Amino acid sequence: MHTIHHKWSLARIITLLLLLTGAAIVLVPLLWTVSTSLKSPAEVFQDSFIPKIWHWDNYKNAVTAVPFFLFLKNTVLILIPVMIGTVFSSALCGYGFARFKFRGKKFLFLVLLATMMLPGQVTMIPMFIMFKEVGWVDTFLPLIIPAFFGGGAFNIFLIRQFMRGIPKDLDEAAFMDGASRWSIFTRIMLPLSKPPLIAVSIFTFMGVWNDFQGPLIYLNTNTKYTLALGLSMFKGLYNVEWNMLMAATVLIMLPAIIVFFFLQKYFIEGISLSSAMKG
Amino acid sequence: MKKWSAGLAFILMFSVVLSACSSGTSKEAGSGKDDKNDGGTDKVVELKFTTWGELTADSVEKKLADQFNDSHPNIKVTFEPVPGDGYGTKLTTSLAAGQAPDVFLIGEGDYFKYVDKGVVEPLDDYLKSDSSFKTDIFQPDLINMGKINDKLYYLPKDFNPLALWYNKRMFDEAKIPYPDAKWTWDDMISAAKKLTKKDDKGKVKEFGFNATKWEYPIYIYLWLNGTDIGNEDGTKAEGFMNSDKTVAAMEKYVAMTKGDDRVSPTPQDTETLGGDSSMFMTDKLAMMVTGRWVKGDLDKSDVQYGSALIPTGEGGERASIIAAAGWAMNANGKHKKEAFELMKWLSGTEAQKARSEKGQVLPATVAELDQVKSKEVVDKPVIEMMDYAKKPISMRSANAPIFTEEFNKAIEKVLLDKSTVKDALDEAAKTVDSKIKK
Amino acid sequence: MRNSRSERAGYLFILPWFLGLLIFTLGPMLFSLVLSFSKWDIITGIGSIEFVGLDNFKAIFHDELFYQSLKVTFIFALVSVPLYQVVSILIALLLNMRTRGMKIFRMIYFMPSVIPAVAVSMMWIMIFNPEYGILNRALEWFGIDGPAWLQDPSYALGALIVMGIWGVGNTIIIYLSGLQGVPDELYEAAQLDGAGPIRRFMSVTVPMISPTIFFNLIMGIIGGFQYFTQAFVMTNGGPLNSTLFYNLYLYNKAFVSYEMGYASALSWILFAIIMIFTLIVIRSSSMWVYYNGDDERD
Repeated sequence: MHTIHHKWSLARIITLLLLLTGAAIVLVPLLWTVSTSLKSPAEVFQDSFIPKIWHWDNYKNAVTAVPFFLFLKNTVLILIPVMIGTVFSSALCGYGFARFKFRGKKFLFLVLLATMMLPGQVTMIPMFIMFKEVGWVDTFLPLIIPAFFGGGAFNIFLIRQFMRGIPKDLDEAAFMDGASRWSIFTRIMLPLSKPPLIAVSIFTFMGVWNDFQGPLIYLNTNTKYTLALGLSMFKGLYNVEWNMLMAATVLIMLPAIIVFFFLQKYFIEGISLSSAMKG
Repeated sequence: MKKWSAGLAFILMFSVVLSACSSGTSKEAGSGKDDKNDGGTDKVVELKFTTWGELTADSVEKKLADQFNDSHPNIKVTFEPVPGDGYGTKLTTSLAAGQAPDVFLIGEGDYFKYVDKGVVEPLDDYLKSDSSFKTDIFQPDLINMGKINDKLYYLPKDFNPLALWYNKRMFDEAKIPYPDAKWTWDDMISAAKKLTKKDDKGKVKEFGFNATKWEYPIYIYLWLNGTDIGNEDGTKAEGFMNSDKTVAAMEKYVAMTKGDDRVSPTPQDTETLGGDSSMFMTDKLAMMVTGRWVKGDLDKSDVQYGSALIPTGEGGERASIIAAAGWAMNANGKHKKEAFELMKWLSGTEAQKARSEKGQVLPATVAELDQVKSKEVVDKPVIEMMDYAKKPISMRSANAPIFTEEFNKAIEKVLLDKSTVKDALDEAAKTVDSKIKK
Repeated sequence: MRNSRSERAGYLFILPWFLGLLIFTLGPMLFSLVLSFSKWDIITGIGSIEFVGLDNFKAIFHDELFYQSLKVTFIFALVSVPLYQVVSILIALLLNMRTRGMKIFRMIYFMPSVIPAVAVSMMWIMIFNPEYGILNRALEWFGIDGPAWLQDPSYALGALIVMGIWGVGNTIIIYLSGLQGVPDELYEAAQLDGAGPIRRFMSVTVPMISPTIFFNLIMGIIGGFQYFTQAFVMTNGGPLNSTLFYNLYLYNKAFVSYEMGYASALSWILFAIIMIFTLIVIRSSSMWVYYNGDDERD
């Protein structure tokens, strides 16, 4: 008994050391980003890691140089429907691919993968022309509507993989009890698929939050711009305002980190089959 | 070679499906399509124009657009600024889709290319039929830049002549007199040697001059040595890119960034240290040849700087390049007459004054520039450099990308010690000529 | 249990995706296929598309830079795909332990993937600088004279591969979510059978997360062959084309020299390559991917 306990703590120490080393490697560049964001332009490229004077005004300037809160509002207006559409429709389609047998399924699944294999550089212009023809250019629609149609092959594939790992007895038992496909989906599969659904939400959040290309191409009026577009103004044609760019980067990172921090609790709960049965 | 647009059929097919679901509330986004008031005499024409940057709330271009709308009740112009990062992609995409703004801004490096592709409207006919607007209000060099194959395509917005910028503190510390009008490049290089400082480990911590990989200063240096990377109309590299004069000049130029007695950072050093202006501000760089835009950066710091004429060649020759931005009219626009009105306003005296008052830009019109010249000290040599402006290959030929690509590759090889200057340039010249023939 | 009712339900569940495919995806894909047999100088607008038959493909097979970019991309994919998977699994395993403070660690490891790729790239340009960057300064403490990472043709590609490890946060999250799907009961049962940690990993963890590995492997292949942003920002293909990735070359063709037809042809060749590798993984999956929920094969 004693030896087992001892071994455990040794493993624990090694784990902790490994994690700490990795964390340091990850953090140093990040801290550098934060420190740069607090420097004066002249100090950015000096050796010091800690700014001589902390220029919190960089953040104030980053927020006031562009209509920050308007851009934030626009970003959120795009973000919320896209999150809802993506999570819901990718769960539906993922379930369809994971649990049903139908003719042409393997082929359709390959088509699903194939849609990711063509580089975006060549499909971008035809997409734009298409949205132009229906008059959606300079609206949020090209950025929002596609999310409701499957939510992207990546997400469908991710959810399908996870759902196929859920024991079939669970839904088959419910089916025998007369539950509809729909209620099996909402009452059994969705609650059990929390981890991948959270992962999908996080990726979707980040994708929309950091998207530069989409809003750049589809939005013309600057009152419709998103944060990622607005904050890119610190990277000019001839020069980069590093301190401002980094302040903008930190501002854009923070919400994503906070969102992750709160969503990640679903990653530590784990799944207990017995509790799922009871639930 | 029949025109073919089956692709269009596909697009249309899916568009039909889409329009079916489209709610119909979306506004017509096409550039100035007049969907209402057909044939009415009082119809309002909608125009759009675009620039890079200018995203801030107090943008001059936005104000100019508002003023234009006030004075032109029959035209409604919308200003659409684009982040500098994405300007090229956005303009390309919108041109491809036939959705480009009526008037857009082009940098001088792309002047030739856009005319060559036929997407920019020549302005001569509009000018002829409009006696109220004369191009002689502009600096002759700037109007000349906008002329390609004897036709005028671009009206000047602003411009940035190249000049030599120097860091006064570093000069004072090394007890070297500031650059003067008599300097040759050799004078400058020997001053740069004195200004370059190493730490005790032999690592350079302060550089005398930035011998950048950017083509413009290199072209100037080649011109002063009586050579160029291609012939006048950009059809031949052999005997130009690899001439004895070019090889000798490039050997000297490259030597500035290489070896133990280098005076210049490598392109990568420059990038790491945040670009030449950041190095300059932090007293890590004493001299650079660059455009006037750098002033915007420098004025934010407390660096003491001055500008001087770019040094001459051995025989006192001078040369320079003007970096500029000009308004272009979309050749496929729907309302060209109105677009020309807008271009006149955006490049005219009032607009030049408004931008110049805001600070960072020199006016492109003669009268306003003379005023600046009489007051400004720092800008004096910068403005004087204009008189020596020549057209780089990118403003003379559609083949320019082939020339610059091979030339850059050759210089890269040399900097990596993979080749001698002569061999690299010989090979590059041969490749360029064979690519042009294709 | 294929029956018509279940079949219909299946179709209904995937209907959103299928409609999206028809409306948004298929058109542009077919358009680019058509373009690959055409010449199109994009900035002159859609009216100037010209049919040229196989000309683009013929030209590509005589194009030196095509072969160079193919070589770079293959090396990158073959090294980085397995490397990133192994690193991600190991980190995910560590992060999956239930210890106090793990929340913080998870957040830290995830942070790099929150930063936009362009900002990450600019940061690494500084880190890699041979004289002033922190990487070579750190190596100096150990008496190692670090190379010119991004400026030396023999190191640049390697530098980008190493840098990629820093950004595997997304893959880690997916593995974490996969690990969460492994029922605790299985570990407990294995422990009762006297299996040590390594055997538990091999006989419980690996089979149970094999669907996740399958997913990440396929996404890794697709992403690896389409690597773009970092090379675009950091090296732009240099030095001496040593980091000329396939998509970077394609982008230059499409948006710098405006040859959209040529670029489309390039994209369909890439499509075929990725498809072949994906099919290989799918075919092999019956031997190593285990689905707890069914016995169907991919």
